[in-house]
Parts: sequence; C-alpha cells; structure tokens
Amino acid sequence: MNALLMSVLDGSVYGLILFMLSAGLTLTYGMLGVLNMAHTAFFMLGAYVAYSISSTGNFWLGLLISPILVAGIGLLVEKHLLRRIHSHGHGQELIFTFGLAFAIEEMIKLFYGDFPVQYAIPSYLRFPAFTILGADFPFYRLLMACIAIAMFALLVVLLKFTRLGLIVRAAEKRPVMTAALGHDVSKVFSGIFALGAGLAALAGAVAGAYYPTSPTMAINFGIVVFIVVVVGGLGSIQGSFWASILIGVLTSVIVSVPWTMGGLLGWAGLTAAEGATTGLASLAISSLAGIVPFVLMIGVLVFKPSGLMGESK
Amino acid sequence: MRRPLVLLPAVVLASLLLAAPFLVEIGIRGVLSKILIAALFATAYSLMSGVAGLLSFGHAAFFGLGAIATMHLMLAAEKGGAFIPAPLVPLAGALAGGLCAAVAGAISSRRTGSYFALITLAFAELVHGIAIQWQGVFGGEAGLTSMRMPWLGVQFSSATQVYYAVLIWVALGVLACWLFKRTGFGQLAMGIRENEERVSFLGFNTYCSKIVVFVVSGAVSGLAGGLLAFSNESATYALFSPLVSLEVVFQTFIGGTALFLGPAVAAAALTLLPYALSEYTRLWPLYQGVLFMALMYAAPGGVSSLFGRNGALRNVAAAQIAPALPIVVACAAVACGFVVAAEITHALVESGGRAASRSAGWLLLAEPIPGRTGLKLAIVWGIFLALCGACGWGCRLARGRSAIRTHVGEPVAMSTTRTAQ
Repeated sequence: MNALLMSVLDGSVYGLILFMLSAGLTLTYGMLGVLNMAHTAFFMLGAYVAYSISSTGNFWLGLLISPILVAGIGLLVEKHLLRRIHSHGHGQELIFTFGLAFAIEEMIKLFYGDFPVQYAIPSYLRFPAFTILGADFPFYRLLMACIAIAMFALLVVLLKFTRLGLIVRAAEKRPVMTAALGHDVSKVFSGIFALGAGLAALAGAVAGAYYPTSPTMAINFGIVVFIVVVVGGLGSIQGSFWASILIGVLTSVIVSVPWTMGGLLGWAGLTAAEGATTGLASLAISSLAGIVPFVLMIGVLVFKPSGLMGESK
Repeated sequence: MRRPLVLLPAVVLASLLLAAPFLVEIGIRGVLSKILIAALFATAYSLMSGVAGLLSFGHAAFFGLGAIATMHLMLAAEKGGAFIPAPLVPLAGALAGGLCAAVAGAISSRRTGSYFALITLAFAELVHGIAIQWQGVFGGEAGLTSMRMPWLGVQFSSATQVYYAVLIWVALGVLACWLFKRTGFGQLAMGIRENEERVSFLGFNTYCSKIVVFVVSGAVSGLAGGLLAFSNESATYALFSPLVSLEVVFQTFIGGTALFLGPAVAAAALTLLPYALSEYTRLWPLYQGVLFMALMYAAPGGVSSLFGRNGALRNVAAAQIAPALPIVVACAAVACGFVVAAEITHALVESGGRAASRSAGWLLLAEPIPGRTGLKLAIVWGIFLALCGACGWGCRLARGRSAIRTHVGEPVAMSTTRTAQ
C-alpha cells in the first residue's frame, strides 16, 4: 500500500513536470494547429541558456531570462519562417520544425559538447521539504510541482478571464471574424507561438536543474508531449493538465507492478499461462510502462478524438 | 516528340544502376544496397503521402516487421525446416508488412488529418515497444542473425551478388508502385487526396479504399525491410524506431511527389550523403537540419516540384536568370559562411575539450574562461552575422534596382488555411 502511495506521489510530480513541458504545445499545436516538433528543442534550449546564465552565480536570473530569450527566438521563427510554411500543410511543417529541432540540438552539441552539463540546483535549495513514509521528499521537487500548478492557474486565468484571453480564443475559433473586428490575428498567433516557446524554456530551466541537462533531453520527451496534448484534447489547458497527471501516475504505478503477464492471466483464471518462462506470458507488466501513453492515445483517438476535455469539432 | 526525352534519362539511370558495383570501391558496395532499399521504401511511402494524401508517421512498423519476418524465414531455411529459394525470402517481408498495414489502416483510417498521423505514430510506437520487450520473436538487444543460403549455385556471398538481387526486387517494387498509381484505383486514391467527401458522394467507400492503399504501401515497405534483412543478414528492434518512420517522411517530402521518382532520388541522396561526407565533416546532422528548413521554405512541394509541371525551373527564360542571380549568390555566400563558422567552432571546441564547452557559456557572457576560445568564437559568429546582414542588404538593393521583381510568395495568414481536423 505504501509503495502504491509512493508511486502515485512520484507519478503526480512527474505528471506536473510533463504538464509544464506540454503546456506550451497545447498553445502551439492545440490552438494554432502547428505540428511543432521543435517544442522539446525549445525546452532543451531553455535548460542550456539557463545553465549558461546561472553559471554567473545567480540561479534565479537564469530562470527569468531563459524563457524571455527563447520566446524571442520562437517569435522570430514564427513570424519569418513558420507562417509561410504552415499554409502548405502538415507534412511540410513537420519537416521544417524537425529540421529546426535538429539544428538546435546539433548547435548545442557543437557549443556545449555531446554530454550532460553541470546544471544543478543551488545548494541552499537542497533540503527535504517533509518526510513521507520514511523517505525524504526534496524541497525542489515540491517547488517544481508548485511552479507547474502556478503555470496552470495563470494560463487558465489568462485565457478564460482576461480580455486578451478572449481575443486569443476568438482568434483561434473564428480567425476571419476576429480580424474583421479589427484585431491583428497574425500578431495574436505570433504571440501565442512565442508564449508556447517561452513556457517550454521555463520548463527546461526549472526541470533541467533537477534532471540531467543533456542533448538527448529533447528526443526523450519528443513524442510524449504530443500524446499529452491529444489525450487532453486539442487546445484545452485543463485537458492537458489532467492528461499529464494521468500519464504520469499510470506510468509510475505500472512500473511498480511486480507481476508478469502470465501471472495476471493466471489470476484471471487461465492457470496454464501462469509460470511461463518464455513468450508473451513471461513479459513483466512493469516493462510495458513505456507503451502506456501510446495505448492511451490510440484509445482516445479511436473512441473520443476530442480528447478528455477538448471540444468536439 | 516527348518520348526520347523521357527515355534517355531512364536508359542512363538503368545503366548507372547496373554498373554501380563496378564504379565504387569495394568498401562501400554494401552501401549501394542500402541506397536502393531506401529508394524503394520512400517510393512505397509516397503512395500514401503523395498519391492518397495520407500522412503516416508509422511506416517503421511495416518496414521493421518485414525485416523480422524475413529473418525468421531465413532462420527456418538455415535449419532446413523449409526449402525456400534465397532470393524469394524478402516476399515474407511484403506479406508481413501488408498484414500489419491492414491492421494499422483499419484503426487509423477512421480519422483524418493530424489525428490520422498521430494514430499511425502511436501504432508504430506500440509495435516498437513490443519489439523491445518480446525477446523470443524480435531477438532483444542482439537482434536476429542468419545466413543467406546458396541457391542454384549462386552463393550470395559477395556484396555485388547481393546488390543485383536487391536491384531486381527494388525494380519490381518500384514498378509495382508505378503501375498501382496508374490503375483506376490509383486515380481513386488521388481523388481521396483532393476531395474525400466528393469521392464518397460518388458512391465509393473511402474508408476501405484508404485501407487498400495502406496495404499496398505497407507491403512494399515490408519488402524493403525484407531486403534490408536479406542484405544485412540481421535485424534488430532499432528498425522500429520512430526515427525510421520520420526519415522516410523527410525523404519523401524533400524529394517531392511532383515526379514519380522524386522520393526515391531524395532517399538515395540522403542515404548516400552521410557516407560520402563522413570523411570531411562530422557536422552532417547540423547541415541536414538547416537544409530541411531551407528546402521546406524555398520549395514546399519538394525539390521535384521545381522540375515538375508548372515548376519554377521547368522552362527558365534567360530574362528570369539575371534578377534571380543576386539572391542565388547571397544564399550561397550565407551557406558557405555558415559551414565555415560551424567547422571553426567544431575545431575550437574539440581542441579545448571540456574547457571549451565552458567557453561557450562565456560566449553568452556568463563565465570567465581559460584561453581565448570564447573570444574567437564570438568573432567568428560575429563575422557570420555580418555576412548575413550584408547579403540581405545586397539582395534588397538588387531587387529595388531590377525592373522585374522576382516573385516571392507573400506570407499567407495562418488563419485562412487551417486544415480541418
């Protein structure tokens, strides 16, 4: 029972970090419909920029400047390159953003080397926040969870309760009508894209300090962020939030399941399968954790394509 | 008379392919088979994306299963359990790829647009995950290995013999794709690409039609996978990696589907280039990324769209060359500058090792460095940026002077062209 509680807690924190990472994509892919494969490259860029700045000695300065800088890069990319390519279709967009992701990753390898860098949390943040079930819970993990929740709350307030959010939502749903009412829709879209890139960079700056900052961090998260956005429902911040936590908790719980496939079948009454040592029955359930998000995505796309909280179109 | 014009490149291409093993060094003859296989895979993929307009991110599943099925048949032949002529084993790949594609198509064709693409991606990842875990069938970390059995006195021991066997299969596969495109069914698939709703109003079952396209494309992809297993005598779960799926998407879109052989040529080039350039640079992935961006910006329909019907380079009049010249020169200068700057950076950082990676931090005005690497890097990239600025300024100047303004597509507002989900 304790183990289950522990893995639920771990999974929730992982899910919150996943949300931080995919919140930006909810805006760029979910709202703008841009298949932005470079999203996790912005995440990685954010971590590296924050590392460079924090090596002057101020950790918080890195957290502040890195998202602004990366948002600026995102703005330039959207305004001058991506907008033109978007009009040609998903395939072109995918290849362009993947090329961008490639270029960012290789530039980072070029400057920082193909190995993890020493980006770490400052020593005064390294203390346990509380002790749960005999294990220390680091304060920084709590901080990351809080930043993720704050990001969620801010985005919801911004989109739902402000005039700016109203214009953004209008521009997303009825672009032509919004433009006719005198709003610069393309500027709104550039702004959303920049915000998305900035959020990814913030996630990178925050999470990169706790987890290893290396050139592979973009690829590792490359696909799962899309799953979060699709499972949550395109363009729905709340959907992404709950989808991230669902994926985090499910993955974490399944990793801790001690049975094999055969054991599970045996429990279900198929005793012949129990104790098998080869074939499919010998697979440990925990080894399947990696494919859980994909199963979830196929299920959602086939049975409820609008996602957990998206609007059906 | 257009015929001879078409025939001549075909004859040149065919004789080049036939003579290829004797034109290159022994060391890279194995690469030739890989190039052919990549070309076949891209052609199979272009049936989906080019003919039927279906964007699949999951072709690695069919390719990989084709390779695994072929390996199992080769293993069976090796044990003497089944007598199958060695050159025919890749057919097992076609069968496996087709079957798998039928399943994938039945699931994913229920949706369109990017949803469709994401289902295929998830499907391929599912197969990938199973392939990693299920050692009994997929061989785990080490993968499966087997030997090509001799047949009718042919040993299949040299790379040249394997090359010709692969060449015959690739030619048959490409021919099959070409014929498929020309059938009435191929026309129907193109109709689905242009306007699916209208095709369904005409009484065609578009769901089933899409599955059929899927199966044909998957079977030829599986054949390509089978050929890879046949030529490598091994297969691992790495073949199921999403990068394999993405690579074939890149090749197809870079090549463009305006010409039938566009994807195949692009696949061949993008497979060959890393080998050809590995001696000179280690930064090919960087250049590749930038190249993808530049090509998608300059030629969204792929390189072959420039030469295809209504292509910009189809009939170039002499009067059009002069205004375009400054832009071409500027682009070339920026490209050369970028390559030089990147190579200098690489050399500086490599020589400095770990210390140099800190110096990159200094470049962002972050920390003091030992040595002057950071300063040198700042100067190099400063010169590069100045070059970019000068070229941009020069282009603008030239464009202002020239009476004929070259047509550069105006950016289209995202809003008006959002694809329906």
